[in-house]
Amino acid sequence: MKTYSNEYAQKIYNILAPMIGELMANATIKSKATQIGKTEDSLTAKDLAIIAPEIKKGLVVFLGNDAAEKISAKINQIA
Amino acid sequence: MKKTKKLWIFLGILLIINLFVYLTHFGGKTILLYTADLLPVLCSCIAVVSLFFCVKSFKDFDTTKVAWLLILLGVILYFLAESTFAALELVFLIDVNNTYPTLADYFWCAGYIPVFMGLMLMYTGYKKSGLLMKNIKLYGFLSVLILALFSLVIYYLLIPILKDTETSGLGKFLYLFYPIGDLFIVTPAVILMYITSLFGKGSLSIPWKLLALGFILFTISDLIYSYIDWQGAYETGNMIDLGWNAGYLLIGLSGLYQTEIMESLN
Repeated sequence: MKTYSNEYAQKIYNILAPMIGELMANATIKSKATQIGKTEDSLTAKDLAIIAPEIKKGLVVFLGNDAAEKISAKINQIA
Repeated sequence: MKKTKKLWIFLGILLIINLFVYLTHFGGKTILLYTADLLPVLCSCIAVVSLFFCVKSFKDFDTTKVAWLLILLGVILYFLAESTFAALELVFLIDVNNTYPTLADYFWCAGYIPVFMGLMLMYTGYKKSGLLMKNIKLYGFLSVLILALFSLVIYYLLIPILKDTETSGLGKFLYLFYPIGDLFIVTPAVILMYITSLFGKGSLSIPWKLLALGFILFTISDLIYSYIDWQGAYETGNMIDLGWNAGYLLIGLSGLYQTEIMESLN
């Protein structure tokens, strides 16, 4: 189980890891943070609105649009 | 008790009964014949029902739902094939082991198309998702493995069947269709299996894992069947039937796991 110093990264991880596994959750957070020019440790509440729809794109293939949207909303609500 | 747990138990019981009857020939030839013909009908029916609930659990009619719908369509065709095969042998008393092709073969062949499309939709959907693909070396290994499988099938099955002068044109076409169709199914199935390995214990990957495993079991059984049937050595009660029955039940389980995931999110 990965532990982040950043609370937002940790909360996203806590939502994603049971669904997509620890390795994939970690890689997803890292790549989405990089996409917006940040690291996992520098994520802020404002970034969640940009990251959440990107994470949704990854989940759609498993859950369909509607359920993936719910996870995305859950991540958005962390802020 | 969860529905998935119940189905796991049922799967175990069915396969034990199947194995027991095949090994002991308990009850003689009639029981063996009925077990061999009706168990695949029951197992494919379970797969159809589970996949139906799975498709129903998706609210939006998007690519993900279409992928599962195509797999459901394919499995419905397999179910029709199993039912037709059983009816021909048990009701119409046709010697199906020496009659080739039968109506059931057309259903089986047609089933490959939606299944392949469904698996490919899942794979292309994953590629577009932006999630980790990773491990190029393992991809290389998988490519070599698939290439080796293609070569073995071509050398031991396709070439000898093509050269066979005793088999009719239509018979040859169907004998060739099965192994070629299997190779088309096993390729995305193996890739999906690899993808799911990246998810560790992640719950979302369980349905894909079981689905891929089910179709891989089908392919192994189909390839063995194609070879021994073409040799004229296939008889009712052959152990390879277990591969198909287990395959159907794993596909059914994948649908049920997906349904549970969707229900937990609603």
